[in-house]
Amino acid sequence: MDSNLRNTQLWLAFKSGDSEALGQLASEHYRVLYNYATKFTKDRELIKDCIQDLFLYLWDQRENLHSSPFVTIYLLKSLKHNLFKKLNQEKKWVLDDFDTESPFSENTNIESTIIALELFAENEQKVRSVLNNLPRRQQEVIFLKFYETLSIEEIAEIMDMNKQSVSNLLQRAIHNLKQNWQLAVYLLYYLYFNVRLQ
Amino acid sequence: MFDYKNFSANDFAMDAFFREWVLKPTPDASAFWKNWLWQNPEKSEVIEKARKIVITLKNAQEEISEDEIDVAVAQIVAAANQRGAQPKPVIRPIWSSTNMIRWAASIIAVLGLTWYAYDYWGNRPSELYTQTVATVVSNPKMLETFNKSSEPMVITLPDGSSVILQPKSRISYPAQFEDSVRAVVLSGEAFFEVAKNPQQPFLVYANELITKVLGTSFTIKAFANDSQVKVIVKTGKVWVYTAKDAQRPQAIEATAQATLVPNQQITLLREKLALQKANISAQMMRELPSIQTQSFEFKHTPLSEVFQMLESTYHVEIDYDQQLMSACELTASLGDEPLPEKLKLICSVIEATYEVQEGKVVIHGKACN
Repeated sequence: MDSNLRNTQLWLAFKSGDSEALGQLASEHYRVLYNYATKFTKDRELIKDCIQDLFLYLWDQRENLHSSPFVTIYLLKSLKHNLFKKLNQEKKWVLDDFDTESPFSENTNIESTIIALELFAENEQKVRSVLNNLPRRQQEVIFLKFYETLSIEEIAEIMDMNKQSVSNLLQRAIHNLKQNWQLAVYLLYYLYFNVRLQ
Repeated sequence: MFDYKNFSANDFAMDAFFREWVLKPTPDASAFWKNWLWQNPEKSEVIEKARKIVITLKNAQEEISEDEIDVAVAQIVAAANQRGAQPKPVIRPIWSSTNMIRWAASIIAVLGLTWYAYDYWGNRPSELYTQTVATVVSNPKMLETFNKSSEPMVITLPDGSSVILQPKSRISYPAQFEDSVRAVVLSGEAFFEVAKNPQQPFLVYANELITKVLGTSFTIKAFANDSQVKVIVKTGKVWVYTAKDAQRPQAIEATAQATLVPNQQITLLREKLALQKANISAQMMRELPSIQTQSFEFKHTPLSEVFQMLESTYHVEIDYDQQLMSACELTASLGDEPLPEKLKLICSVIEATYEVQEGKVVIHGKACN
């Protein structure tokens, strides 16, 4: 309740032209925006430029906005749009990793693989490398699901896909993770379980 | 809801409600999980493991440091401040109206606007200053003082150092200095008396010039529109180098020319980024603010005279019971200590205490015999 009041006050201060409020809102959302953007490009300066453009655009538009745009889904979607535009302009697209619609193997026996989680908890570097080896869109879906804990509906909105396609994509990500690394078996189980709950 | 009692660490890590509690705890989630742990104390180890997994999974997708975010956000705020007040350009064809009255009106409007812009830009920080503040100081709690008046003003920094800020000058400093360095950003002219602390160098960023000291007194003149930046040393030793050289620390160590001792000044020609060192002539000496040449030697000096001198050099008001303390006098040799330190020393001699109230120094003392 308190945080709602605070958010409203911040948003009103922002709207009235208080740049400190902008700073606070920006620092609250910067991390998730930056980390999300790394799923599309590794160009750190380009990412920072795009995030700055996004916040300055909102700043310029503040008098025309009727409700707070500082909502994770909205910000992620806008940033992705800006990034794509810039990447297209600068022809920085790497088209090698658009995942193909490879059929998901129904036989994957996931439930049988329970492993010691302590290993997983202490292997941040390995988790990182396994994730980085996934195709771009699979990294994106895993980020949205597990870094930001968004629902399948919200992920579908950000990725411009229907819910079924999001679930399929998640399953493909699981499939690839399993092939990448034996320890990732845990993740497979984790993802599979969640997909089935949806 | 599931029966959490039979959950393994795996299962907890998979559970969205559990993950929410670990990553973005809401009051509801916290209350639920605390209560649940209280009812199932034997599960606390399992919960701890599950927390670790969730956090590792998140950290493995972390790509940016806190410092980097602070710098980026400061740049966003600086950019917003700059465009926030700029009037949006209105584009209209000049010849569309044949009505002379409208012409006359628009000329007056343009004049009015120019005056407004002049007044406005005169009080605005330069772009270089704003950028420097954004990149140099990562502390989000920044304080800024701009001296709009026509009189110099004294500022006490968080480390106790004094700054006498000249009119139309601006200084930025953090509410709390970092442990390793005391960094401030100046645009305009100021005299510094830096509290001594060899472990925590004091850095002044002024236009393209960086001045590094450990504890000393000096003036920096760095107005945004001047073609030069000047540093004039009163006591102690200072090192100066350009912002460009700051990226190559070994270059700074090697540049002997950049070391300054008392009564020397260094000038940075901004266009060439060249440094010129010179001794101060008597003529130059006279043009400096009084504190630059003021000595603080007192020998049986009446207290009223001491306070009068401090009032005029530091541009502060000092309140004390003149009648009560009329017999007090001071014999002391004060140097380049910042104002708070000078006051402390004087007070210890006359057995008084002082405090700062609404910008005024108030002395609580007693009669001297």
